[in-house]
Amino acid sequence: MPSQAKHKETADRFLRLYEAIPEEFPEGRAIALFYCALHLIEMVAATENRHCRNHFLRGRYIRSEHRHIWKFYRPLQEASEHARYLAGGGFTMTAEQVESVLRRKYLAAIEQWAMSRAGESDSSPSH
Amino acid sequence: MAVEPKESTGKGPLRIRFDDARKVLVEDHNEDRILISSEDAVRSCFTQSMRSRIDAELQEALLEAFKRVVAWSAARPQVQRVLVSRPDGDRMLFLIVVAGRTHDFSLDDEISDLSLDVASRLNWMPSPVTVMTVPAGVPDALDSYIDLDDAFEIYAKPGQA
Repeated sequence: MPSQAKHKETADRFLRLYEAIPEEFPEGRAIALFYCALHLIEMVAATENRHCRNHFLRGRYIRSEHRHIWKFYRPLQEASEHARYLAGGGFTMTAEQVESVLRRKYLAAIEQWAMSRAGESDSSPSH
Repeated sequence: MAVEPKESTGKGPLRIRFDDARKVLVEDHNEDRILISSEDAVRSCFTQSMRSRIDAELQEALLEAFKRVVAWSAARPQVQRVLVSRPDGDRMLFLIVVAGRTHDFSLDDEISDLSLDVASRLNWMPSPVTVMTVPAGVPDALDSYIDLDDAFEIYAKPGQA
């Protein structure tokens, strides 16, 4: 089971990936944000000696153990699925929406919660 | 080996006790027969009875989840259709088709609440239950997730069907 630190490191890497992806690829940016969120969730799970090995178990874990986070995580997951599966311009969020809603609203809420849970608020992803 | 006579002349129920030393001969309409101990016969009957009760309760829970989604959809003019499918034979997907060409962020929180409710109603299912929106104006959006021939529509906005 990966450690709390490993998950945080991976979350940081996905946030850096987000920033490295040009704005002309909002779908790629949405995917990076979702995986950042996923690893923040896993970071918290690791503090509880837990690990969710697939999306189903992770969803169930969030809904049952950290219910208030679901409303931030679910839209990120949905956006990521649309980014991956809606072909031919089917992903309709703009780069501005990805930044202002997915990152600044949903991911920021998960980040704040995760850092608080992990007792690492002083070392939150700084990007 | 003692068994009940093939042709029962009595009108009352056949009584099989788990501790009856005799075996039970069960025969179906094809005259296929199974000879089992009374104890196994009793256990099988109780298992089947329990399974039937559970099936009925699960069907009821599924129906209630559908009703909840339909009522939720009918109260929101943006919702055009709701399709249910098991696209990969595993997860149950509620696909909510929302008017417009782009994602409707105003529904995000409400969809999250709805999905929490549906997931909790169906938490006995061993597979994932997903509630997801797609914009109606995106070509092929539905086909990206489901086989329309295998999906069924549980809601259509009046005038959309």
